[in-house]
Amino acid sequence: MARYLLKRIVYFIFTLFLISLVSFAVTVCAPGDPVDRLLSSAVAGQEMSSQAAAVETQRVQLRHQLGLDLPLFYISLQSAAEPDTLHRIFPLADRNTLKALTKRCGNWEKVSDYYLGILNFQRTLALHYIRNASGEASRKQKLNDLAVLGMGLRSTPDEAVAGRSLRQITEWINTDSSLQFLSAQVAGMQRAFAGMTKEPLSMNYYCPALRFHGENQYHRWLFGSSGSGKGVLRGDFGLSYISRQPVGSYILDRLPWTVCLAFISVLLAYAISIPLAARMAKKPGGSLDHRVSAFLYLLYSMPGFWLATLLLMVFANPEVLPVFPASGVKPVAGYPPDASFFQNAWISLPYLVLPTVCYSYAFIAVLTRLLRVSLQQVSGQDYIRTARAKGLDEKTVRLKHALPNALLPAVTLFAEVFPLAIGGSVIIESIFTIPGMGSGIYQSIQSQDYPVLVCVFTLTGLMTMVGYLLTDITYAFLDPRIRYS
Amino acid sequence: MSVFSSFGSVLHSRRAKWSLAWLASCLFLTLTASFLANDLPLYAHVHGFSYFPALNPFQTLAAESDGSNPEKLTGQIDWKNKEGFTVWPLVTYSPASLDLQNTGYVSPGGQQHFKNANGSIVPMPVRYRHWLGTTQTGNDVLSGLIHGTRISLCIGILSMLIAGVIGLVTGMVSGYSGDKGLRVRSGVLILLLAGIIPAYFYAFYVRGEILIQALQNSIFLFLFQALVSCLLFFMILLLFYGLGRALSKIRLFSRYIHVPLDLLLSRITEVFAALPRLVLIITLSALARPSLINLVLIFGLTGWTDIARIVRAEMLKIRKSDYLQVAIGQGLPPRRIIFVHALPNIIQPVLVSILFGVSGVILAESALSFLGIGVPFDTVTWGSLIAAGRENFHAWWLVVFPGLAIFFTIWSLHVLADELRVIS
Repeated sequence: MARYLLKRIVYFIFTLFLISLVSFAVTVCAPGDPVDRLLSSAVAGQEMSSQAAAVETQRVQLRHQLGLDLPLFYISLQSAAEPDTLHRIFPLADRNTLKALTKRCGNWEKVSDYYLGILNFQRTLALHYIRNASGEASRKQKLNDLAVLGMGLRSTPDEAVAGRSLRQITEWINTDSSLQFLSAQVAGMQRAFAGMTKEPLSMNYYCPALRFHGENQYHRWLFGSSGSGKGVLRGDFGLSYISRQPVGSYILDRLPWTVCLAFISVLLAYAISIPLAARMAKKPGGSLDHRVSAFLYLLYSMPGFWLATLLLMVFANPEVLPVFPASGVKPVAGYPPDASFFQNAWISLPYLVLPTVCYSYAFIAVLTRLLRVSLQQVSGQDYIRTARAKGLDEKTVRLKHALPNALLPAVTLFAEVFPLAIGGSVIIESIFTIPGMGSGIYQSIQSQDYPVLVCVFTLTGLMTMVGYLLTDITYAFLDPRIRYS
Repeated sequence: MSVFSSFGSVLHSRRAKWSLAWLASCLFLTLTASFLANDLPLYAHVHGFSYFPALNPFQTLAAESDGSNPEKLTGQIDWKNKEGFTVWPLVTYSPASLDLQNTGYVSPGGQQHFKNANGSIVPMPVRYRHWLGTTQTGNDVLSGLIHGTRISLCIGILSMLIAGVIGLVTGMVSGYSGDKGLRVRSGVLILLLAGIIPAYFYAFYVRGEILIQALQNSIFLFLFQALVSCLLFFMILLLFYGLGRALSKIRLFSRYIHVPLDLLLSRITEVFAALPRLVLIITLSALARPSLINLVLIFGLTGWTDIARIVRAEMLKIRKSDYLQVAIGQGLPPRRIIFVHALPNIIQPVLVSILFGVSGVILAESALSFLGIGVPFDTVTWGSLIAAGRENFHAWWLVVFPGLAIFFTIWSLHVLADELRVIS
C-alpha cells in the first residue's frame, strides 16, 4: 500500500509540474505586452517629448519588477552567434530585428555596435528636439522625418533598405547645416553598418548553443522573488488587468456562489440517483426500468445552455409563467439589513432553482446510468446469492449488500465533478448572471484579462489532479485488487 | 469483418435506425449545404443565355455587361425579380444574406413581405418564404440551420479524426510494445537523445523566422512550412540514428537497453487527461484568433486520451490471446500482426469512443459559439442562433429549432455508440 501511495504521489507531482509548464506557456503566449496592459497611461504614437521619456523609464522599471527581462526558462537553445543577454532587449520588435541581423552577418559584436549607433542617433535627436521645442514648423518636420528614418532602421533586418535609409540621412545632414550636430552620430552609424555588412560570417549562426539560466521567468513565476510577488506556489497570480486587484482575491470573492451551486447540485444528484437506480435495478427490464432509461437518455443528450434558455423562456417569462426571477442571486435592492443567514437563504432560494436544475440534470443522468449498470453487475455476484441463500430478506440484500459495492464506480466520477462544474459554470452563470467564478471567467475572456484565465486554468488543473489522487487512494483502500496489479 | 457484421446487427433496433437516418441526413446537409440553401439560383436562363450563379457567383450577365448597368456583378443582381427561367435551391437564402423586408424577428407563420420588381411591398411568395422565420437582422433561420449543420459536423468529425489518429498510434505503440518490447543498443539511444537538440535547432529555431512569417500569412502556408520543419527534424534524427548504429559497433556502446515506451506514453496520456479540458479550450479559444481551424486543432489535440487508453487496454488484452501468440510465434512481421491481426479487433471500441467524442465536440462547440467564444462572430452556427434567440424570448423559433437539431444529433450519436458497445 505504501509503495502504491508513493508511486501515485510521485506521478502527481510530475503531472503538476507539467500543468504548471502549460499554464506558464499560456501566460507567455498571451497576446499583448503585460507592461502595456498594467500601465494605464499609454502614450499614443511615437511622440518625442519629455513625457514619453518618463513613461519609457516607468515601463522599464515595471518590466524589471515583473521579471520580464529575464530569460524564459532554466535552459535555452540559441545560436552560438547570439549573446545570452538577448532577452534584455526591448521592445520585442528590436529583438527580432537584431536576431535577423545576427543571422545574416553572424557577428554579434558588430550588430550590437550598429544597434547602439542607432540608439545613440535617436537619443541625440530626441534631446535636440526637446531643447528646441519652439523651432519653426519646417525644421520640426525635418527632425520628425529623421526620427521616422531612425525608427525604420531599428525595425528593418534588410540590409538594402537599411543602406538606403542611411544614405538618405547622410544626404540630409550634409545638405542642411543646421543638422550638423548629428554628423558624429551618423558617421558612427555608417561605420558600424559597413563593419557589419563587410564580411558576413553567417556560418557562425548555424552552430547551436545550449545555455543555462539560474534566474529566469519560470522560476520567478513559480517561486516569486522579493521584488515581484510571492509566486504561484504561494498563491500569487499577479494583478488582474481590469480590476487591478490580485487575481487570487478576485477569484476568492467569486468562488462562494459557484461552490454553493455545485455543492447543492451534486448533493441533489446523489440524492435522486441512488434511490432511482436502486428502484430501477429491482426489476431489470421492467417497464419502470425501460421508461426511466429512455428518459435519462434524452436528458443526457440535452445541451445545458439550451435547457437553460428554454427554462428561462418558460419559467422566467412574464408572459408565460413568471414563477422564478430571470437573473441574479438576490433582489436588486439587496437583502434586508437585519435578516439572518437563513432568511437570506430563503430570499435567494427562488433565484437558485433554475441554475440548480441546469447544473444537476446531466449529472443525474450520468450517475443513474452508471449506478444502474453497476448494480446489475453486482447482483450477479456470488456473495449476493449467498446472502439470499442465508435467508436474508430482499431489502437487506439490496440495500446492505449490493448497493455499497455498486457505489464504487460512482467514486471515480467524483474526481471529474469539479472541473466539469467550473467549465459548466461559465455557461450557466453567464446565462443566469450569477456573480460566481464562471461569469468572472466569461468577463475575463471578453476583456482579455489573461492573469485571471491562467489562474483559473492552474487551479482547475490542480483540483483535477487532487481529485484523481483522492479517487485512486480511496479506490485502493476500498478495493484491494487495485494495489497489487 | 466483425465491424461490418456488427453494423448490420445495429440496424435491428428501431431507435438505431432513426438515429442513423438522422445522422445520414445531417451528413447529406453537410455535403450539399451550398446547394440546398443559397441566395443565388442554381440555374438561370436569362436573355437566351444559361447561368449557374450558385456554382460561379462572379459570372457577369452577358446582356448587361456593357458597363451601363449597375447590376453587373451577379452578387448584386436581384435574381428573385429577374425575368426568365430560374431554378432555385430548396431554401432561397444564404445564412449571411439579409432580407431587409423581414427584419426584426419574423415568425415562421407570420406575415412576411417581399419587394417585387416595381419596388412595391407585397406579401411573400411561397417560393421565397422564410420557413423557420428570421433573426433580428433578417437572416433566414432555416438557411443558418443547414449551414450550421455543416460547421458542427465538420468540426466534430475532423477533430475526432485527428484525435483518433493520435490516440490509435499512442495506444497501439504502448499496448503492443509494452515496457520490454522495444530494445535498442545504448549507442543508438545516446545519439538519438543527443540528436534532438541539433534537430530542434536546425528544424525550428533556424527556420523560426520563416515559420512566423508563414503563420502571419495563412494557416495553410504555416502547415506546409511546419511540415517541412518536421521532415527536417526527422531527417536529422535519422542521421543521428545512422551514427548511433556505427557507434554501437564499439563494444562499450553495444549493450541492449529496454525503452519503457508503455510507461512513458501512459504518463503522457495521463497528463493530457488531467488537463481540465473545457477550461483549457475556453482559455485557448480566448487566446487564439477565432477561427474554425483553430477550434478543430484545439479539440483534436486535447481529445485523444480516452481513445489512447481504450486502444492500449484492448491491445494488452489481444496480445495475451492465443491467436496473436501464434501469429507472433510464426515470426510474422510486427506490421502484419498490427494491421491484419490486431487492428480489426480494436476498431469497434475505438469507433464507440470516436462517436462519443464527436458528440462531445459538437456539444462543446455549440456551447462556445453560444457564448461567442472561439467561433468567428459572423459565422452562423447552431449555438449562435440560440444566443440570438436569448435576446428576445418572443422569438421561440430561434431557440427551439437549432436546439432540437443539436439535441437530435447528440442523441443519435449516443444511441449509435451505445448499440455498437453493447454488441462488441
